Amino acid sequence: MLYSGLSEAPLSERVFDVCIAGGGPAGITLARRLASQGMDVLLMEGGGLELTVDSQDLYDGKNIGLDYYEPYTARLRYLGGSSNHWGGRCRELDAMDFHTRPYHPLSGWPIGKAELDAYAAETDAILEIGPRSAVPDTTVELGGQTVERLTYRHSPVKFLDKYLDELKAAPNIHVVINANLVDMELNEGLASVRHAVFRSHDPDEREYRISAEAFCLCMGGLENPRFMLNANRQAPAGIGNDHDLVGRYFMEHPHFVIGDVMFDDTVPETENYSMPMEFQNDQKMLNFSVRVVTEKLHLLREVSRTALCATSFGERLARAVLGRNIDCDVGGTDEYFDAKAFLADNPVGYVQVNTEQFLNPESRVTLLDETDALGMRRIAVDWQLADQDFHTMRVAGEWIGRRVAAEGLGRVRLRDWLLNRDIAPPGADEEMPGGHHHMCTTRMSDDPKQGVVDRNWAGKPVYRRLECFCHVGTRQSDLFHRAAGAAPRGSFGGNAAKTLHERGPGTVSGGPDMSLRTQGTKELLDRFYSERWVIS
Amino acid sequence: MKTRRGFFRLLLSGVLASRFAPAAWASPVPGDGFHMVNGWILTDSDVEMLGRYRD
Repeated sequence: MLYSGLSEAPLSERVFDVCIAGGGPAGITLARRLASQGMDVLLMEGGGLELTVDSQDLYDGKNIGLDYYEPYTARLRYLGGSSNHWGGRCRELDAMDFHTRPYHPLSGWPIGKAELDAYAAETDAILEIGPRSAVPDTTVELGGQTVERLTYRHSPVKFLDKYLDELKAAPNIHVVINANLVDMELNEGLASVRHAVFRSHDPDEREYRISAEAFCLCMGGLENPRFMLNANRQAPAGIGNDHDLVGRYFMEHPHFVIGDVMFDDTVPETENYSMPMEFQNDQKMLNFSVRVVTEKLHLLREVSRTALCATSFGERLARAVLGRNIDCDVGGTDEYFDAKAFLADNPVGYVQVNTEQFLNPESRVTLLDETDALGMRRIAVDWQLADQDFHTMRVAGEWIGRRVAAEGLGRVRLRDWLLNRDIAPPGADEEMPGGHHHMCTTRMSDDPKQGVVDRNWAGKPVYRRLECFCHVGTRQSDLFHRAAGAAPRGSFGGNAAKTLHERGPGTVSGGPDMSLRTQGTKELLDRFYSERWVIS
Repeated sequence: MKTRRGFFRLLLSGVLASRFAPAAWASPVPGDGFHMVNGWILTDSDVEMLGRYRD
Protein backbone atom coordinates (compact mmCIF):
# COMPACT_ATOMS: atom_id res chain seq x y z
CA MET A 1 0.00 0.00 0.00
CA LEU A 2 1.26 3.48 -0.83
CA TYR A 3 0.13 6.61 1.00
CA SER A 4 1.12 10.03 -0.25
CA GLY A 5 1.17 11.58 3.20
CA LEU A 6 0.91 10.92 6.90
CA SER A 7 -2.67 12.16 7.09
CA GLU A 8 -3.77 9.54 4.58
CA ALA A 9 -2.15 6.53 6.24
CA PRO A 10 -3.92 4.34 8.83
CA LEU A 11 -1.53 5.20 11.64
CA SER A 12 -3.63 5.95 14.69
CA GLU A 13 -3.91 3.47 17.56
CA ARG A 14 -2.04 0.85 15.64
CA VAL A 15 1.10 -1.02 16.60
CA PHE A 16 3.12 -2.16 13.62
CA ASP A 17 5.50 -5.07 13.80
CA VAL A 18 8.26 -2.94 12.35
CA CYS A 19 8.59 0.73 11.49
CA ILE A 20 11.38 1.46 9.02
CA ALA A 21 12.62 5.02 8.51
CA GLY A 22 14.14 5.43 5.07
CA GLY A 23 12.89 4.06 1.76
CA GLY A 24 16.16 3.47 -0.02
CA PRO A 25 17.56 0.09 -1.07
CA ALA A 26 18.11 -1.01 2.54
CA GLY A 27 14.68 0.05 3.74
CA ILE A 28 12.87 -1.40 0.75
CA THR A 29 14.78 -4.66 0.97
CA LEU A 30 14.13 -4.97 4.69
CA ALA A 31 10.45 -4.19 4.26
CA ARG A 32 10.03 -6.82 1.54
CA ARG A 33 11.88 -9.44 3.53
CA LEU A 34 9.96 -8.91 6.76
CA ALA A 35 6.64 -8.67 4.97
CA SER A 36 7.35 -11.99 3.30
CA GLN A 37 7.51 -13.45 6.80
CA GLY A 38 4.05 -12.14 7.55
CA MET A 39 5.01 -9.03 9.46
CA ASP A 40 3.06 -5.81 9.32
CA VAL A 41 5.62 -3.30 8.07
CA LEU A 42 5.46 0.49 8.02
CA LEU A 43 7.99 1.96 5.59
CA MET A 44 8.40 5.72 6.08
CA GLU A 45 10.11 7.73 3.35
CA GLY A 46 10.93 11.38 3.88
CA GLY A 47 10.81 12.26 0.20
CA GLY A 48 8.24 11.56 -2.43
CA LEU A 49 8.33 9.69 -5.70
CA GLU A 50 10.64 12.20 -7.34
CA LEU A 51 13.25 14.76 -6.46
CA THR A 52 11.82 17.88 -4.82
CA VAL A 53 13.34 20.97 -3.29
CA ASP A 54 11.54 20.55 0.03
CA SER A 55 12.94 17.10 0.57
CA GLN A 56 16.39 17.44 -0.93
CA ASP A 57 17.11 20.66 0.95
CA LEU A 58 17.01 18.70 4.20
CA TYR A 59 20.24 17.05 3.09
CA ASP A 60 22.05 20.37 2.85
CA GLY A 61 24.94 20.98 5.22
CA LYS A 62 28.63 21.78 5.23
CA ASN A 63 31.96 20.11 4.83
CA ILE A 64 34.18 21.20 7.69
CA GLY A 65 37.03 18.77 6.99
CA LEU A 66 38.61 17.89 3.68
CA ASP A 67 37.17 19.26 0.47
CA TYR A 68 34.44 16.69 -0.01
CA TYR A 69 31.21 16.36 -1.96
CA GLU A 70 28.46 18.69 -0.82
CA PRO A 71 26.10 16.72 1.45
CA TYR A 72 23.05 17.51 -0.68
CA THR A 73 24.63 16.20 -3.87
CA ALA A 74 26.00 12.96 -2.52
CA ARG A 75 22.64 11.27 -2.06
CA LEU A 76 19.03 11.54 -3.13
CA ARG A 77 16.09 11.97 -0.80
CA TYR A 78 13.10 10.24 -2.34
CA LEU A 79 11.73 6.71 -2.55
CA GLY A 80 14.43 4.43 -3.88
CA GLY A 81 17.05 6.69 -2.31
CA SER A 82 20.42 7.02 -3.91
CA SER A 83 19.82 4.03 -6.14
CA ASN A 84 18.03 6.62 -8.26
CA HIS A 85 21.40 7.97 -9.35
CA TRP A 86 23.84 5.22 -8.67
CA GLY A 87 25.81 3.66 -11.48
CA GLY A 88 25.36 0.17 -10.12
CA ARG A 89 28.97 -0.92 -9.84
CA CYS A 90 29.03 -3.77 -7.34
CA ARG A 91 31.61 -5.77 -5.53
CA GLU A 92 31.18 -7.95 -2.49
CA LEU A 93 33.34 -7.77 0.58
CA ASP A 94 36.58 -9.71 0.71
CA ALA A 95 37.15 -12.20 3.48
CA MET A 96 40.16 -10.15 4.59
CA ASP A 97 37.89 -7.20 5.23
CA PHE A 98 36.52 -8.94 8.31
CA HIS A 99 39.92 -9.75 9.78
CA THR A 100 41.82 -7.93 12.46
CA ARG A 101 45.04 -6.30 11.39
CA PRO A 102 47.53 -5.87 14.23
CA TYR A 103 48.64 -2.45 13.01
CA HIS A 104 45.04 -1.20 12.64
CA PRO A 105 43.46 -0.60 16.06
CA LEU A 106 39.77 -1.55 16.35
CA SER A 107 39.86 -3.45 13.07
CA GLY A 108 38.10 -6.76 12.59
CA TRP A 109 34.37 -7.39 12.40
CA PRO A 110 32.35 -9.30 15.00
CA ILE A 111 30.85 -11.26 12.10
CA GLY A 112 32.53 -13.13 9.29
CA LYS A 113 32.06 -13.05 5.54
CA ALA A 114 30.24 -16.39 5.63
CA GLU A 115 27.33 -14.79 7.46
CA LEU A 116 26.79 -12.48 4.52
CA ASP A 117 27.66 -14.99 1.82
CA ALA A 118 24.60 -17.00 2.79
CA TYR A 119 22.55 -14.26 1.21
CA ALA A 120 24.65 -13.62 -1.85
CA ALA A 121 22.26 -15.33 -4.24
CA GLU A 122 19.35 -13.30 -2.92
CA THR A 123 21.32 -10.10 -3.27
CA ASP A 124 22.38 -11.01 -6.79
CA ALA A 125 18.74 -11.49 -7.71
CA ILE A 126 17.67 -8.18 -6.20
CA LEU A 127 20.43 -6.33 -7.98
CA GLU A 128 20.17 -8.44 -11.16
CA ILE A 129 23.91 -8.76 -11.35
CA GLY A 130 24.31 -12.46 -12.00
CA PRO A 131 26.41 -14.82 -9.92
CA ARG A 132 29.84 -13.82 -8.70
CA SER A 133 31.22 -17.01 -10.19
CA ALA A 134 30.51 -15.64 -13.67
CA VAL A 135 33.09 -12.89 -13.25
CA PRO A 136 35.68 -14.14 -10.78
CA ASP A 137 38.80 -12.27 -9.82
CA THR A 138 41.86 -13.67 -11.51
CA THR A 139 45.58 -13.51 -11.03
CA VAL A 140 47.94 -12.28 -13.69
CA GLU A 141 51.66 -11.87 -14.02
CA LEU A 142 52.60 -8.22 -13.96
CA GLY A 143 56.22 -7.26 -14.00
CA GLY A 144 57.35 -10.64 -12.71
CA GLN A 145 54.89 -10.74 -9.81
CA THR A 146 51.58 -12.55 -9.48
CA VAL A 147 48.95 -9.92 -8.79
CA GLU A 148 45.18 -9.92 -8.38
CA ARG A 149 43.01 -8.56 -11.16
CA LEU A 150 39.71 -7.48 -9.67
CA THR A 151 36.35 -7.58 -11.37
CA TYR A 152 33.07 -5.84 -10.76
CA ARG A 153 29.45 -6.45 -11.57
CA HIS A 154 27.02 -3.74 -12.61
CA SER A 155 23.44 -3.49 -11.47
CA PRO A 156 20.78 -1.84 -13.64
CA VAL A 157 18.34 -1.74 -10.75
CA LYS A 158 16.69 1.44 -9.55
CA PHE A 159 14.75 0.35 -6.49
CA LEU A 160 11.90 2.77 -7.08
CA ASP A 161 11.36 1.58 -10.63
CA LYS A 162 11.75 -2.07 -9.77
CA TYR A 163 9.70 -2.28 -6.62
CA LEU A 164 7.11 0.51 -6.67
CA ASP A 165 4.33 -1.64 -8.10
CA GLU A 166 5.15 -4.46 -5.69
CA LEU A 167 5.12 -2.12 -2.71
CA LYS A 168 1.80 -0.65 -3.79
CA ALA A 169 0.29 -4.11 -4.06
CA ALA A 170 1.72 -5.57 -0.86
CA PRO A 171 -1.07 -5.77 1.75
CA ASN A 172 1.27 -5.76 4.73
CA ILE A 173 3.77 -3.13 3.60
CA HIS A 174 2.47 0.36 4.28
CA VAL A 175 4.66 2.84 2.44
CA VAL A 176 4.16 6.44 3.50
CA ILE A 177 5.97 9.11 1.51
CA ASN A 178 6.63 12.67 2.68
CA ALA A 179 7.04 11.24 6.19
CA ASN A 180 10.12 12.67 7.91
CA LEU A 181 11.51 11.16 11.10
CA VAL A 182 12.10 14.03 13.53
CA ASP A 183 12.32 12.41 16.95
CA MET A 184 12.05 9.26 19.00
CA GLU A 185 10.38 9.09 22.39
CA LEU A 186 12.12 6.72 24.77
CA ASN A 187 10.56 4.77 27.57
CA GLU A 188 11.48 5.37 31.19
CA GLY A 189 15.06 4.44 31.80
CA LEU A 190 15.73 5.29 28.18
CA ALA A 191 16.00 1.59 27.51
CA SER A 192 13.68 1.33 24.56
CA VAL A 193 11.81 3.35 22.01
CA ARG A 194 8.16 4.13 22.71
CA HIS A 195 7.28 6.15 19.65
CA ALA A 196 8.91 7.41 16.52
CA VAL A 197 7.76 10.91 15.60
CA PHE A 198 7.19 11.87 11.97
CA ARG A 199 6.26 15.09 10.24
CA SER A 200 5.37 16.05 6.71
CA HIS A 201 6.93 18.98 4.87
CA ASP A 202 3.88 21.08 5.72
CA PRO A 203 4.76 23.15 8.81
CA ASP A 204 1.09 23.44 9.71
CA GLU A 205 0.48 19.71 9.78
CA ARG A 206 0.65 17.96 13.13
CA GLU A 207 3.25 15.40 14.20
CA TYR A 208 2.47 11.69 14.13
CA ARG A 209 3.63 9.33 16.87
CA ILE A 210 4.13 5.83 15.58
CA SER A 211 4.05 2.68 17.68
CA ALA A 212 5.85 -0.46 16.61
CA GLU A 213 7.48 -3.52 18.07
CA ALA A 214 10.74 -2.52 16.44
CA PHE A 215 12.12 0.57 14.77
CA CYS A 216 14.78 0.53 12.08
CA LEU A 217 16.89 3.42 10.85
CA CYS A 218 17.66 2.95 7.16
CA MET A 219 18.56 6.48 6.20
CA GLY A 220 22.17 6.02 5.20
CA GLY A 221 25.60 6.65 6.63
CA LEU A 222 25.15 10.40 6.91
CA GLU A 223 21.53 10.70 7.88
CA ASN A 224 21.35 7.97 10.52
CA PRO A 225 23.95 9.63 12.75
CA ARG A 226 22.53 13.06 11.98
CA PHE A 227 19.16 11.94 13.27
CA MET A 228 20.59 10.15 16.30
CA LEU A 229 22.61 13.20 17.32
CA ASN A 230 19.60 15.45 16.79
CA ALA A 231 17.34 13.25 18.92
CA ASN A 232 18.69 14.56 22.22
CA ARG A 233 15.53 15.59 24.03
CA GLN A 234 15.82 12.73 26.55
CA ALA A 235 19.38 11.56 25.95
CA PRO A 236 21.48 14.74 25.91
CA ALA A 237 24.25 13.27 23.75
CA GLY A 238 21.76 11.79 21.32
CA ILE A 239 20.23 8.37 20.88
CA GLY A 240 22.71 5.52 21.20
CA ASN A 241 25.54 7.93 21.91
CA ASP A 242 26.42 7.10 25.49
CA HIS A 243 30.03 6.55 24.48
CA ASP A 244 30.36 9.45 22.05
CA LEU A 245 30.66 7.14 19.06
CA VAL A 246 27.71 8.13 16.87
CA GLY A 247 29.02 9.87 13.79
CA ARG A 248 32.67 9.08 14.53
CA TYR A 249 34.93 6.97 12.31
CA PHE A 250 33.26 8.39 9.21
CA MET A 251 35.11 7.00 6.26
CA GLU A 252 35.05 6.83 2.51
CA HIS A 253 36.84 4.84 -0.11
CA PRO A 254 39.48 7.34 -1.25
CA HIS A 255 39.37 7.38 -5.06
CA PHE A 256 42.19 9.80 -5.72
CA VAL A 257 44.26 9.85 -8.87
CA ILE A 258 47.65 9.24 -7.31
CA GLY A 259 49.86 9.11 -10.37
CA ASP A 260 50.26 9.52 -14.09
CA VAL A 261 51.46 6.93 -16.53
CA MET A 262 53.62 7.43 -19.57
CA PHE A 263 53.11 4.32 -21.65
CA ASP A 264 55.66 2.84 -23.99
CA ASP A 265 54.39 1.52 -27.29
CA THR A 266 51.75 -0.83 -25.84
CA VAL A 267 48.74 0.75 -24.21
CA PRO A 268 47.03 -1.83 -22.01
CA GLU A 269 43.35 -2.15 -21.26
CA THR A 270 42.15 -0.44 -18.10
CA GLU A 271 42.39 -2.90 -15.21
CA ASN A 272 42.02 -2.98 -11.42
CA TYR A 273 44.91 -4.58 -9.58
CA SER A 274 45.47 -5.51 -5.96
CA MET A 275 47.57 -7.76 -3.75
CA PRO A 276 46.70 -10.38 -1.12
CA MET A 277 46.42 -9.68 2.59
CA GLU A 278 49.91 -11.08 3.26
CA PHE A 279 51.42 -8.38 1.07
CA GLN A 280 49.25 -5.71 2.66
CA ASN A 281 50.14 -6.82 6.17
CA ASP A 282 53.81 -6.91 5.30
CA GLN A 283 53.54 -3.33 4.09
CA LYS A 284 51.36 -2.33 7.07
CA MET A 285 48.85 -0.94 4.64
CA LEU A 286 45.09 -1.30 4.36
CA ASN A 287 43.06 -3.01 1.67
CA PHE A 288 43.45 -1.36 -1.71
CA SER A 289 43.19 -1.57 -5.42
CA VAL A 290 44.80 0.54 -8.10
CA ARG A 291 43.30 1.15 -11.47
CA VAL A 292 45.62 1.77 -14.37
CA VAL A 293 43.46 3.87 -16.64
CA THR A 294 44.29 4.46 -20.25
CA GLU A 295 43.09 7.61 -21.94
CA LYS A 296 40.73 6.53 -24.65
CA LEU A 297 39.14 8.75 -27.23
CA HIS A 298 35.70 8.11 -28.59
CA LEU A 299 35.23 9.47 -32.09
CA LEU A 300 31.52 8.85 -32.32
CA ARG A 301 30.86 10.52 -28.98
CA GLU A 302 32.82 13.60 -30.02
CA VAL A 303 31.07 13.75 -33.38
CA SER A 304 27.78 13.55 -31.50
CA ARG A 305 28.90 16.21 -29.05
CA THR A 306 29.73 18.55 -31.92
CA ALA A 307 26.37 17.94 -33.54
CA LEU A 308 24.36 18.38 -30.33
CA CYS A 309 26.28 21.49 -29.31
CA ALA A 310 25.71 23.10 -32.69
CA THR A 311 22.24 24.25 -31.62
CA SER A 312 20.56 25.11 -28.36
CA PHE A 313 17.88 22.58 -29.22
CA GLY A 314 20.49 19.83 -29.29
CA GLU A 315 21.75 20.82 -25.87
CA ARG A 316 18.22 20.96 -24.46
CA LEU A 317 17.33 17.65 -26.04
CA ALA A 318 20.32 15.96 -24.45
CA ARG A 319 19.44 17.40 -21.07
CA ALA A 320 15.84 16.28 -21.33
CA VAL A 321 16.57 12.77 -22.56
CA LEU A 322 19.85 11.95 -20.84
CA GLY A 323 19.25 13.99 -17.71
CA ARG A 324 22.54 15.83 -17.91
CA ASN A 325 24.26 18.73 -19.53
CA ILE A 326 26.60 18.35 -22.44
CA ASP A 327 29.88 20.11 -21.81
CA CYS A 328 30.25 22.04 -25.05
CA ASP A 329 33.42 23.82 -23.94
CA VAL A 330 35.57 20.76 -24.41
CA GLY A 331 35.90 17.95 -26.88
CA GLY A 332 34.28 17.87 -30.26
CA THR A 333 35.67 16.60 -33.51
CA ASP A 334 38.48 19.17 -33.81
CA GLU A 335 39.83 18.41 -30.37
CA TYR A 336 39.37 14.70 -30.99
CA PHE A 337 41.71 14.68 -33.95
CA ASP A 338 44.23 16.93 -32.19
CA ALA A 339 44.18 14.68 -29.14
CA LYS A 340 44.39 11.55 -31.23
CA ALA A 341 47.48 12.81 -32.97
CA PHE A 342 49.05 13.73 -29.66
CA LEU A 343 48.25 10.45 -27.97
CA ALA A 344 49.59 8.48 -30.90
CA ASP A 345 53.05 9.76 -30.03
CA ASN A 346 52.45 10.34 -26.33
CA PRO A 347 50.35 7.53 -24.92
CA VAL A 348 49.44 8.44 -21.38
CA GLY A 349 47.11 7.34 -18.63
CA TYR A 350 46.72 7.65 -14.90
CA VAL A 351 46.62 5.59 -11.73
CA GLN A 352 43.53 5.82 -9.55
CA VAL A 353 43.52 4.31 -6.12
CA ASN A 354 40.62 2.84 -4.21
CA THR A 355 41.46 2.12 -0.62
CA GLU A 356 40.12 1.22 2.74
CA GLN A 357 40.44 3.99 5.32
CA PHE A 358 42.02 3.92 8.73
CA LEU A 359 39.61 3.99 11.69
CA ASN A 360 39.92 7.58 12.82
CA PRO A 361 37.51 8.95 15.46
CA GLU A 362 38.33 12.50 14.40
CA SER A 363 36.84 11.83 10.97
CA ARG A 364 33.20 12.30 11.79
CA VAL A 365 29.69 13.49 11.14
CA THR A 366 28.47 16.15 13.51
CA LEU A 367 25.90 18.94 13.58
CA LEU A 368 25.81 22.62 12.66
CA ASP A 369 23.87 25.13 14.73
CA GLU A 370 21.81 25.98 11.66
CA THR A 371 18.53 24.12 11.44
CA ASP A 372 16.51 22.90 8.49
CA ALA A 373 12.83 23.40 7.74
CA LEU A 374 11.92 20.64 10.18
CA GLY A 375 13.94 22.19 12.98
CA MET A 376 16.66 19.56 12.79
CA ARG A 377 20.27 20.74 12.99
CA ARG A 378 21.98 20.43 9.65
CA ILE A 379 24.83 18.06 9.01
CA ALA A 380 28.52 18.87 9.23
CA VAL A 381 30.80 16.38 7.50
CA ASP A 382 34.34 16.39 8.86
CA TRP A 383 36.08 13.94 6.58
CA GLN A 384 39.73 13.35 7.43
CA LEU A 385 42.58 11.29 6.06
CA ALA A 386 44.97 9.79 8.59
CA ASP A 387 48.71 9.29 8.12
CA GLN A 388 47.95 5.62 7.56
CA ASP A 389 45.69 6.52 4.64
CA PHE A 390 48.47 8.44 2.94
CA HIS A 391 50.78 5.52 3.67
CA THR A 392 48.39 3.06 2.00
CA MET A 393 48.03 5.24 -1.07
CA ARG A 394 51.74 5.85 -1.38
CA VAL A 395 52.66 2.19 -0.99
CA ALA A 396 50.01 1.32 -3.57
CA GLY A 397 51.41 3.92 -5.96
CA GLU A 398 54.99 2.79 -5.54
CA TRP A 399 53.93 -0.82 -5.99
CA ILE A 400 52.05 -0.24 -9.24
CA GLY A 401 54.88 2.00 -10.44
CA ARG A 402 57.32 -0.86 -10.02
CA ARG A 403 55.00 -3.30 -11.72
CA VAL A 404 54.35 -1.03 -14.70
CA ALA A 405 58.06 -0.41 -15.17
CA ALA A 406 59.04 -4.05 -14.71
CA GLU A 407 56.41 -5.15 -17.19
CA GLY A 408 57.79 -2.68 -19.72
CA LEU A 409 54.46 -0.91 -20.03
CA GLY A 410 55.88 2.51 -19.23
CA ARG A 411 56.67 4.59 -16.16
CA VAL A 412 54.55 6.07 -13.39
CA ARG A 413 54.97 9.45 -11.76
CA LEU A 414 53.28 9.88 -8.39
CA ARG A 415 51.34 13.07 -7.80
CA ASP A 416 53.03 15.82 -5.80
CA TRP A 417 50.45 15.82 -2.99
CA LEU A 418 51.19 12.17 -2.30
CA LEU A 419 54.90 12.87 -1.95
CA ASN A 420 54.64 16.13 -0.09
CA ARG A 421 52.17 16.33 2.79
CA ASP A 422 52.35 20.12 2.72
CA ILE A 423 50.29 19.93 -0.45
CA ALA A 424 46.59 19.25 0.09
CA PRO A 425 45.05 16.38 -1.84
CA PRO A 426 42.69 17.47 -4.61
CA GLY A 427 39.18 18.36 -3.61
CA ALA A 428 35.81 17.48 -5.01
CA ASP A 429 35.96 20.37 -7.46
CA GLU A 430 39.03 18.90 -9.10
CA GLU A 431 38.42 15.18 -9.14
CA MET A 432 36.63 12.42 -7.27
CA PRO A 433 38.17 12.21 -3.80
CA GLY A 434 35.88 9.36 -2.81
CA GLY A 435 33.13 7.10 -4.02
CA HIS A 436 30.20 8.75 -2.24
CA HIS A 437 30.42 5.83 0.18
CA HIS A 438 29.40 7.00 3.65
CA MET A 439 30.51 4.42 6.15
CA CYS A 440 31.17 3.49 9.76
CA THR A 441 29.29 6.30 11.51
CA THR A 442 27.41 3.78 13.67
CA ARG A 443 30.04 1.12 13.44
CA MET A 444 29.50 -2.45 14.56
CA SER A 445 31.21 -3.95 17.60
CA ASP A 446 30.42 -6.36 20.37
CA ASP A 447 31.93 -3.83 22.79
CA PRO A 448 29.53 -0.90 23.33
CA LYS A 449 32.55 1.29 24.01
CA GLN A 450 33.84 0.60 20.51
CA GLY A 451 30.70 0.48 18.42
CA VAL A 452 27.13 1.68 18.24
CA VAL A 453 25.47 -1.49 16.97
CA ASP A 454 26.22 -5.08 17.82
CA ARG A 455 26.56 -8.12 15.60
CA ASN A 456 22.79 -8.38 15.40
CA TRP A 457 22.57 -4.86 14.00
CA ALA A 458 20.88 -3.74 17.20
CA GLY A 459 21.55 -0.50 18.97
CA LYS A 460 22.73 -1.72 22.30
CA PRO A 461 22.45 -1.98 25.14
CA VAL A 462 20.12 0.90 25.71
CA TYR A 463 17.68 0.89 22.88
CA ARG A 464 16.37 -2.58 22.83
CA ARG A 465 13.49 -1.68 20.63
CA LEU A 466 15.59 0.32 18.26
CA GLU A 467 16.64 -2.99 16.97
CA CYS A 468 18.18 -2.42 13.63
CA PHE A 469 20.24 0.16 11.89
CA CYS A 470 19.96 -1.09 8.39
CA HIS A 471 22.04 1.42 6.51
CA VAL A 472 24.11 0.83 3.54
CA GLY A 473 21.56 1.23 0.86
CA THR A 474 23.53 1.59 -2.27
CA ARG A 475 26.71 3.19 -1.13
CA GLN A 476 26.06 4.23 2.38
CA SER A 477 26.87 2.01 5.25
CA ASP A 478 27.17 3.54 8.62
CA LEU A 479 27.38 0.23 10.42
CA PHE A 480 30.54 -0.91 8.69
CA HIS A 481 32.92 -1.94 11.33
CA ARG A 482 35.66 -0.79 9.07
CA ALA A 483 35.48 -0.10 5.40
CA ALA A 484 36.65 -2.65 2.94
CA GLY A 485 39.20 -1.56 0.43
CA ALA A 486 39.84 -1.92 -3.21
CA ALA A 487 36.33 -1.04 -4.22
CA PRO A 488 32.96 -0.04 -3.04
CA ARG A 489 32.28 -3.08 -0.95
CA GLY A 490 29.46 -3.04 1.42
CA SER A 491 26.61 -5.19 2.19
CA PHE A 492 23.65 -3.43 0.87
CA GLY A 493 20.18 -4.52 1.72
CA GLY A 494 21.74 -7.64 3.06
CA ASN A 495 22.49 -5.75 6.19
CA ALA A 496 18.89 -4.85 6.26
CA ALA A 497 17.75 -8.38 5.72
CA LYS A 498 19.96 -9.55 8.53
CA THR A 499 18.09 -7.51 11.06
CA LEU A 500 15.50 -8.92 13.39
CA HIS A 501 14.91 -12.47 12.26
CA GLU A 502 17.12 -12.85 9.29
CA ARG A 503 20.69 -12.49 8.26
CA GLY A 504 21.59 -10.62 5.16
CA PRO A 505 23.83 -10.53 2.13
CA GLY A 506 26.14 -8.06 0.61
CA THR A 507 27.07 -5.92 -2.30
CA VAL A 508 27.26 -2.24 -3.10
CA SER A 509 27.58 0.27 -5.84
CA GLY A 510 29.36 2.65 -8.13
CA GLY A 511 29.24 4.54 -11.41
CA PRO A 512 27.52 7.66 -12.54
CA ASP A 513 23.97 7.81 -13.73
CA MET A 514 21.97 10.97 -13.95
CA SER A 515 18.66 9.75 -15.25
CA LEU A 516 16.71 11.06 -12.29
CA ARG A 517 13.11 11.77 -11.76
CA THR A 518 13.00 15.46 -11.09
CA GLN A 519 10.22 17.76 -10.19
CA GLY A 520 11.34 20.91 -11.71
CA THR A 521 11.74 24.05 -9.83
CA LYS A 522 14.33 26.09 -11.59
CA GLU A 523 16.43 26.42 -8.48
CA LEU A 524 16.69 22.71 -7.91
CA LEU A 525 17.31 21.87 -11.51
CA ASP A 526 19.96 24.55 -11.77
CA ARG A 527 21.71 23.13 -8.73
CA PHE A 528 21.35 19.67 -10.08
CA TYR A 529 22.72 20.43 -13.50
CA SER A 530 25.38 22.90 -12.50
CA GLU A 531 26.88 20.72 -9.83
CA ARG A 532 27.90 17.21 -10.49
CA TRP A 533 25.36 15.06 -8.82
CA VAL A 534 27.22 12.02 -9.86
CA ILE A 535 28.15 9.05 -7.82
CA SER A 536 30.59 6.32 -8.42
CA MET B 1 62.00 1.45 -32.75
CA LYS B 2 60.74 4.87 -33.54
CA THR B 3 58.17 4.60 -30.79
CA ARG B 4 60.75 3.41 -28.27
CA ARG B 5 63.03 6.35 -29.02
CA GLY B 6 60.00 8.53 -28.60
CA PHE B 7 59.25 6.96 -25.27
CA PHE B 8 62.69 7.56 -23.86
CA ARG B 9 62.76 11.08 -25.21
CA LEU B 10 59.52 11.73 -23.44
CA LEU B 11 60.75 10.07 -20.28
CA LEU B 12 63.93 12.08 -20.40
CA SER B 13 62.13 15.34 -20.89
CA GLY B 14 59.55 14.40 -18.32
CA VAL B 15 62.06 13.51 -15.65
CA LEU B 16 64.51 16.28 -16.33
CA ALA B 17 61.88 18.93 -16.84
CA SER B 18 60.40 18.16 -13.47
CA ARG B 19 61.36 20.44 -10.66
CA PHE B 20 64.11 18.57 -8.86
CA ALA B 21 66.98 19.34 -6.59
CA PRO B 22 70.22 17.41 -7.08
CA ALA B 23 69.92 15.89 -3.64
CA ALA B 24 66.57 14.39 -4.59
CA TRP B 25 68.05 12.47 -7.48
CA ALA B 26 67.23 8.80 -7.40
CA SER B 27 65.95 8.14 -3.93
CA PRO B 28 65.22 4.46 -3.50
CA VAL B 29 61.71 3.07 -3.38
CA PRO B 30 60.96 -0.28 -1.76
CA GLY B 31 61.85 -3.15 -4.03
CA ASP B 32 65.19 -4.00 -5.52
CA GLY B 33 66.13 -2.20 -8.66
CA PHE B 34 63.78 0.76 -8.47
CA HIS B 35 64.27 4.40 -7.67
CA MET B 36 62.25 7.57 -7.48
CA VAL B 37 63.26 10.78 -9.21
CA ASN B 38 60.88 13.69 -8.89
CA GLY B 39 58.03 11.30 -8.37
CA TRP B 40 58.95 9.07 -11.31
CA ILE B 41 59.40 5.44 -10.42
CA LEU B 42 62.35 4.34 -12.50
CA THR B 43 64.46 1.25 -13.05
CA ASP B 44 68.20 0.98 -12.41
CA SER B 45 68.91 1.40 -16.09
CA ASP B 46 66.63 4.44 -16.34
CA VAL B 47 68.52 6.14 -13.55
CA GLU B 48 71.89 5.22 -14.93
CA MET B 49 71.03 6.45 -18.42
CA LEU B 50 69.29 9.60 -17.28
CA GLY B 51 71.91 10.32 -14.67
CA ARG B 52 74.71 10.14 -17.21
CA TYR B 53 72.84 12.47 -19.50
CA ARG B 54 72.10 14.84 -16.64
CA ASP B 55 75.73 14.94 -15.60
